[in-house]
Amino acid sequence: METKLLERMEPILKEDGFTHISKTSSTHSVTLSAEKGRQRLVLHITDQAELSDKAVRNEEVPAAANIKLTATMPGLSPNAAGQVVQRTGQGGAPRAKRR
Amino acid sequence: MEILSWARKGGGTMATLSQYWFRDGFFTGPFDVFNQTYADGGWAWISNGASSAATLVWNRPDSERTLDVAAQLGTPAILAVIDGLLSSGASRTSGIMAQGVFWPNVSYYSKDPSAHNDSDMLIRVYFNFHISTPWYCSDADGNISYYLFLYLDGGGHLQGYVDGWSYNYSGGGPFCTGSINDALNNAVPNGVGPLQTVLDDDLALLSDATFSKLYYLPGSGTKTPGDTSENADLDVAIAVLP
Repeated sequence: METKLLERMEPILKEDGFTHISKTSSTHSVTLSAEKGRQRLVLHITDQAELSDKAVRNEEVPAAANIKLTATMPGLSPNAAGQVVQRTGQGGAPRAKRR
Repeated sequence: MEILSWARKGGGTMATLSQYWFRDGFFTGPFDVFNQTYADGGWAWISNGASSAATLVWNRPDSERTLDVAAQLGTPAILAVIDGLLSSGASRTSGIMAQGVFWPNVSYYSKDPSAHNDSDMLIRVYFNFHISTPWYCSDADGNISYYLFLYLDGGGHLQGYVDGWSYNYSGGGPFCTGSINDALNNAVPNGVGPLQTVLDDDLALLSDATFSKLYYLPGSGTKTPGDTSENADLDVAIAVLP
């Protein structure tokens, strides 16, 4: 990501009397902030919108062949081989609302 | 809540009839549980007049063994490990919480739906965090989650591994989400190894036996007779039967 613009800005801000000049960098952004009396300035460059969530599955997991029985709620018996769920108890379906 | 219960004596060991009433939805949020013990060969009933969104009844043999996940993970030593993962400016704002979640409700399910059965449950271990930011951004608050997958191997031994991780937060705008993400993307995966070690240590508590059934119970898995109120979003228990 091109950040030379911000680098050129730092001496300009100093010349203009700005203090507390601070630069924060991340993988996809650079932010420059500065203060001059009651004035506050922020310059921000980014090349990617950043989401505030992430979810990743671990790539190093045991082989399925080592798994005989997986965990579930009481009354369900997951069949790892056939992907078939057997209900060992009675009920389990949502009750229809009465009119 | 008015609960009526009754047990008839049989012989031998004591079993427990447990009924769970979930106020908001099945296996989620606040719930009440009533445990009625009775001798094997006898029978028991529980009656409840209060309303609930879902209910679960389970007959629990005396041979059932349970492990309260939040209690096992909420030790000072483990909390210190977690706090060490968070970089400066970030802090943990809750204790360790644990929640049983069905595979389709895991946050990375859509990336590989066939990785598990839809009926499989994982344990979401999570905690809240706060990240302070410079004056031009709002502070961020969110949670970090690790998903544990437990199973019985061919020998009937209880095994488990860290299946994945996730984070989400609000705040950090308008310019700080990049640096927050960098910090979290570095710190959160580094928790997988220590958590796997903790999981192995906890499962070692049940390594002296082999099992034929494995399931999760909402809350602490208490068998204490009578009425108890807990929250399925805050704790889950691992239960095994020989």
